[in-house]
Amino acid sequence: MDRENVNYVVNITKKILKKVMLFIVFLYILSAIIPIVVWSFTRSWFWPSAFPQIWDNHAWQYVFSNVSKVPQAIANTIIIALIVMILSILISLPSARVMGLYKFKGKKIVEMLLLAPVIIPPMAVGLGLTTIFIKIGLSDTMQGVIIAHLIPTLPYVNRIISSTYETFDTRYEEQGIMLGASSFKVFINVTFPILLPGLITAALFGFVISLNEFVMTFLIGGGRIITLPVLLFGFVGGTSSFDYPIASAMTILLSIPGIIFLFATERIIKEEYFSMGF
Amino acid sequence: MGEIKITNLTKKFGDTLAVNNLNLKIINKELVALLGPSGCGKTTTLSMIAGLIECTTGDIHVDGRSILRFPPQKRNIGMVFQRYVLFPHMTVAENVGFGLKMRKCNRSIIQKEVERLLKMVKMEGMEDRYPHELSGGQQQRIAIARVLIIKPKILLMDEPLANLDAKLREEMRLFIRELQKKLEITTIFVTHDQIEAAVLADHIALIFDGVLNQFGTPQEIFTNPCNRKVAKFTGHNNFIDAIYQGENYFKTQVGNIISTHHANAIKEGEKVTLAIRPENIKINLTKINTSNCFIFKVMESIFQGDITRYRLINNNLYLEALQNIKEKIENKKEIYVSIDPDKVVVLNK
Repeated sequence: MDRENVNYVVNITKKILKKVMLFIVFLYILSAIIPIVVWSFTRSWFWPSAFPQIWDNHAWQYVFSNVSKVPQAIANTIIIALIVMILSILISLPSARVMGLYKFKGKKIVEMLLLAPVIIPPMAVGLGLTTIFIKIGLSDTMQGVIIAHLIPTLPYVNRIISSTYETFDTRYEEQGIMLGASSFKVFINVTFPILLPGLITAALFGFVISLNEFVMTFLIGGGRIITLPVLLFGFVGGTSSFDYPIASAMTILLSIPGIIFLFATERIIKEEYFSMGF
Repeated sequence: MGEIKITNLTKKFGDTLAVNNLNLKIINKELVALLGPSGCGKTTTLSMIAGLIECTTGDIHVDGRSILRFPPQKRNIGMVFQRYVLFPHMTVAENVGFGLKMRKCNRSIIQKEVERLLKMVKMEGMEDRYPHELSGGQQQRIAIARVLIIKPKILLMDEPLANLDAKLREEMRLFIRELQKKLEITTIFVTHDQIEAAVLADHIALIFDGVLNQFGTPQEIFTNPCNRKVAKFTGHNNFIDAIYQGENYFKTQVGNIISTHHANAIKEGEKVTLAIRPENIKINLTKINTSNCFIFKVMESIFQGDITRYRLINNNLYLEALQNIKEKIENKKEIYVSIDPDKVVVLNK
């Protein structure tokens, strides 16, 4: 074979390998989702059978019945997630600006501290927080749960917004000021739209993390604030019965808001980047 | 309308002096260049006039009134930034109309003004484009239109031509010059390019390390540099130490050089430096009978297309000459150098 042919073969092999790797990753994710979908339509499906022994829809009937408290849990979950998402963005904006734009002594340490909640086990944080919240009357309340959710969401939201700020040119703001805009107007008209793609990504993370949060809701909510993960916990052996089909149905419900969010914002993110010319 | 007086302006960043006691008077309707190498404090000066940076001490007056107590929004100064910073999420029309929108003008007025400004910068019909769809030159025109729409008293430009390729730069240079003369708006621009400053500016302020070294017309700066730094920056690459002998004679290590180009009084026996542009050093293959003729050896010749750069040596004195000579001169060949006495600049030590 001459050199050109060798190159051709190498290139083709590379392309195929990339496709194969992509497929493996795809399969890996799918392999977790497909059984859940199947489970939700069965009554029993036990090893070593490859297919469920009994198909039925008791799980879905239960989930949508009044006994299950699922509709109320969905409402709670989404309301909490939305509030947590907005709060974590509002809280992160100033600190992320500092982290993304300025250099200062001890920045590395501050960076580490901001990431600490990711590293420290949530159970440890949750237990500590419960004792404090009981004292100040925040336990068993919606507000308490929302504040507790900020602990796991803030590190991610902060990180994403600060890396968005890192690529932000503050001369856009200076130009806005020179054209007569007040600082507030500059933020609304210039900074915010330019940061929007990053903010949406951060919002997505904040929303999804809060959506899936169990430990904080369970400990702070004390069983009074019911969200989907709390209900779900019961059916995977937590508090009441052990029912895989129902747990699967709830899991599917739980993943829907995140998927909707992703699809709704994906176009904005892409369009924004496109209009920036990158 | 638009006379700027800068007095004792100083800016300290920590312990470093970015701008050191700057005094400058800019006449109405003039185009002035702040020229200097990067990091010399010229952009800092511009930002202080704009109000984006507070000055440590000193004052800035516009038409006799100090502007320091006004925020940038109230100074009525327009600034065009380097890289133009057009808002990426806005169309050309929205970018240009931004200043009026912030002033709460009504829509039809904004639309009319945007149209007028776009016509002025020759960008009609581009209203709905996004900045990333424009070339560098077009972006610059929009950036200028966006600033002019607020009818500023003073226009500031930070390296307006730095991000353009050579051909566009020439075009934009003429465009800015014409526009400025037409609108009669006092303009200060920052540049590190001496040619750009010479072509565009009515007056040049040469700044080194935060200190104003010379202020004058381009002709003054380029022919009468006041010190060695200015001379070096304006292309006087040859410096010769000399002692004044009286009657225009300067004693150097290669012999007496005559200079008729010195205004300031120098005493006999005073040590000075002679500065000569490479293009003012003539290379002759045979000895000629003029004043200022010296024998030198060619060390190296670098062909640069339309011109050749020669490095010459005599004892320990190196000279650089730019010349257009047809035949090739071998290295180490001895040649005769002649220098016009009127082109030898005398600098006080």
